[in-house]
Amino acid sequence: MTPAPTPNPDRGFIRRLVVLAACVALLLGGYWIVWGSHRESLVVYCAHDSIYADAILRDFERQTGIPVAVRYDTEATKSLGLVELILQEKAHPRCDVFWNNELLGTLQLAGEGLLQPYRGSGYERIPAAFKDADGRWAGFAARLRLWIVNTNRLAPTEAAIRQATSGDLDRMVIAKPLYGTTRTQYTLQWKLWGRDKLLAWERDRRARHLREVDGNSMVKDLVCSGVCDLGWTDTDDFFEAHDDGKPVAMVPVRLESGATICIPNTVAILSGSQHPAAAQKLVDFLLSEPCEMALAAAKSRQIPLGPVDNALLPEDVKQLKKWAADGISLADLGSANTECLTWLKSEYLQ
Amino acid sequence: MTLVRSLVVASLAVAVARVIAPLLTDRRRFFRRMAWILLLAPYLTPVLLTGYAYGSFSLSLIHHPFGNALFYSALLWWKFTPIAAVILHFTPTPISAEAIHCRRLTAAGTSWWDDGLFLFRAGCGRGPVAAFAVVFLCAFAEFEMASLMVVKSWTVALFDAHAGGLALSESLRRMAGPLLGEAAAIATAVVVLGTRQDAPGNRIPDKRSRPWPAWAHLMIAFLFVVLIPAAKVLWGTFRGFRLLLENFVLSREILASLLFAAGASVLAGLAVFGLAGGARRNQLGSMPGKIILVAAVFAGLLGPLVLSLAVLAAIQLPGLIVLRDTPAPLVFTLGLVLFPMALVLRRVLALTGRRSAWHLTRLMQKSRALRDLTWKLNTRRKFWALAFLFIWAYWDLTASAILAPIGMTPVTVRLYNLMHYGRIEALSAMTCAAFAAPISILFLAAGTRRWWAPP
Repeated sequence: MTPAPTPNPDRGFIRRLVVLAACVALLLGGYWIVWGSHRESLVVYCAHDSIYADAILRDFERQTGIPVAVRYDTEATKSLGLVELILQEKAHPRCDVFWNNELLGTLQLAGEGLLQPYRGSGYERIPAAFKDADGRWAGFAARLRLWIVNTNRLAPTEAAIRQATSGDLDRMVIAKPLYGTTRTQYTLQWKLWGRDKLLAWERDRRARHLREVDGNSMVKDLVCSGVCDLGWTDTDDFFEAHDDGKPVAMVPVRLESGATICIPNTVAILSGSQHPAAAQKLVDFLLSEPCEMALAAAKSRQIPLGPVDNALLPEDVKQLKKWAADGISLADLGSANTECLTWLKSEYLQ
Repeated sequence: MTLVRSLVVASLAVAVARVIAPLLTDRRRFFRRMAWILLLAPYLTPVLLTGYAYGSFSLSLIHHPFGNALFYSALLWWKFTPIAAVILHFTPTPISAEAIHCRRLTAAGTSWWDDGLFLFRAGCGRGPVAAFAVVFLCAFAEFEMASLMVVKSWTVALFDAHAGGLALSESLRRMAGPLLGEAAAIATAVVVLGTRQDAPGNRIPDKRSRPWPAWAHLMIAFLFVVLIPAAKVLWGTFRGFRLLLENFVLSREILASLLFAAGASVLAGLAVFGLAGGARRNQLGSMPGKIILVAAVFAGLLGPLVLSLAVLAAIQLPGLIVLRDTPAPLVFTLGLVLFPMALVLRRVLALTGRRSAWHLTRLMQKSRALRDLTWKLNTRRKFWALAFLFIWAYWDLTASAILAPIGMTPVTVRLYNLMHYGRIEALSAMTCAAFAAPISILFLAAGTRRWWAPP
């Protein structure tokens, strides 16, 4: 006699799982259709800090009714990750608009022929020093490179900083120069000094125990807590510490010529964009006076580049605007950008 | 560096797991339960939470990188010792205590080395070797905590290099060395655990063991991996809660994470429980079935970083590029990552189930009581196994960062990004909200017990 087959004790459970799988698939599909990167969404790659950019982009959605799907970068690989992603995707582009929080990556994409020109109402209001003559990109809402100084440890003056950085640099910290605005600073030095002098400078600073961390926010944290006395950062990070009541002060980073380093956000439309009309609307929106004013009023205190009503600017931003007026031109960094990045990658990505 | 650290962590974890083992079989129910809770809590605490809590502390050790690396290693040790302890618990020695005693009587005067060799040859080394291999694998593949604590590791270097524009082929080429180490560990674990063995005998009582070092380890691990991080996050939460209520920006991300985690855990659950049914019908005895099973286990054990990069390469191929912007690659990858653990859980459920009681229950007439008994004896344990997989998938960061489609950013990716700005109160509140979401969902799901337990 053949024994009766053993019933599968899991059968009922598996049936429930199948039902649950169907429900989850439906919900995932629903989410994807509503908020995912579907046909109608304007795809934005954004290297600007999500805590500030998100509000601006949601505002654009509300005002225009155009759905926006955003991919943000990670803080640790600021902007470089998205630039590389756009380069990797050039055969099958997904991104419509690239909102970069600095200039160099945008210049690189322009050099690769991946940006399409657009001269709209926003472009017209930005000064020539901060936009591409061919209309491939435009800058807005800038930041300044700063010395952040712990006032319990050091006087916030250029003389005190010179003194503190003349010997051992064990108590000075910077972000890895492969990324973000520190990279812009290195690229500028590369252009001004040339390769050999920059490399010698770098070797010397490493020999004097200069500390490097993943990002400018970490620089700020280390100086705030007194673990380090001073470091390089940007205005947005400095004001986070300042608003929290930390014992910090800022001194603008000045090059040998006395010029400051003012780094704009940049925005560009990608060649092959699936939504050119919507992309143009977003570019005009970002380059508009209300958007620049909103970013100036935010905790990040970004410096408007186009004409705005100065009376409405916060006091901090008025001061920054004066320093920004001494800013060095970043427009012709093309070859220095490529060479310096190649060297930095060989140093940091091995 | 990562290799040496992982070897040390794995050795220490196995050594301590052996000391902890007696607590897990204590005859006193209260002490046994306490031991299990203290043991498992550090493992179940999301690494993102631990990494976030200690991020500032690690940064403050910038002048003492060795101290930071040492602290990170200790956290790994506390976090992964539970894996070793559980493996040892479920792979007891095949030799009974009586047999050991007889051996000692007949071979009086032999050295401890001879004793050890004898036990190893008899199969007593199976559990420790497997535990060592799996803990090594976990420590070697760890990424999130290393990244937040600014510790040098191959995973962080690879992730950064990939994000920094390293070509995918180059990323995959660089993985070859670490992959070899991982493959060796996986092969060891699979071979050792897959060895057929007689039914386990009585556990060997170790009269030399003292319970207090084991309790001390469990409490220290609980303190550093669970309590301090939870306290730090909760402290910030109270102060940041108002900000969170004013501007709750993570709702979409939390929803995306819940859906990804649900998809992946259901996928893994279906694969494992469906597989069990297939095994019962001998459909997995065939060579292709075995190959698929081993391949899936191998892929899952590679960890989310390696697997995600491989999947990312796959979806660039012409036939698969249509999947690039969909949730499918992430759900599939997370499902694969969960698969080995789901298999282990399925095996544990099978070993520890009360089969006779369950069989008697099946003979009862359909009734409400039958549903309740079905839930208690059978479905409840599967439900919580699935819940465990769900939570695990929810807290994944690596695969999510690499494979999430645009517009569907999972909450862990967003939190990880925000955590790099340092510790702020609103972020603590966000972390707390992200922590509470899956737990709330599970409580809600537990209310559907009658649906889960069909007569």
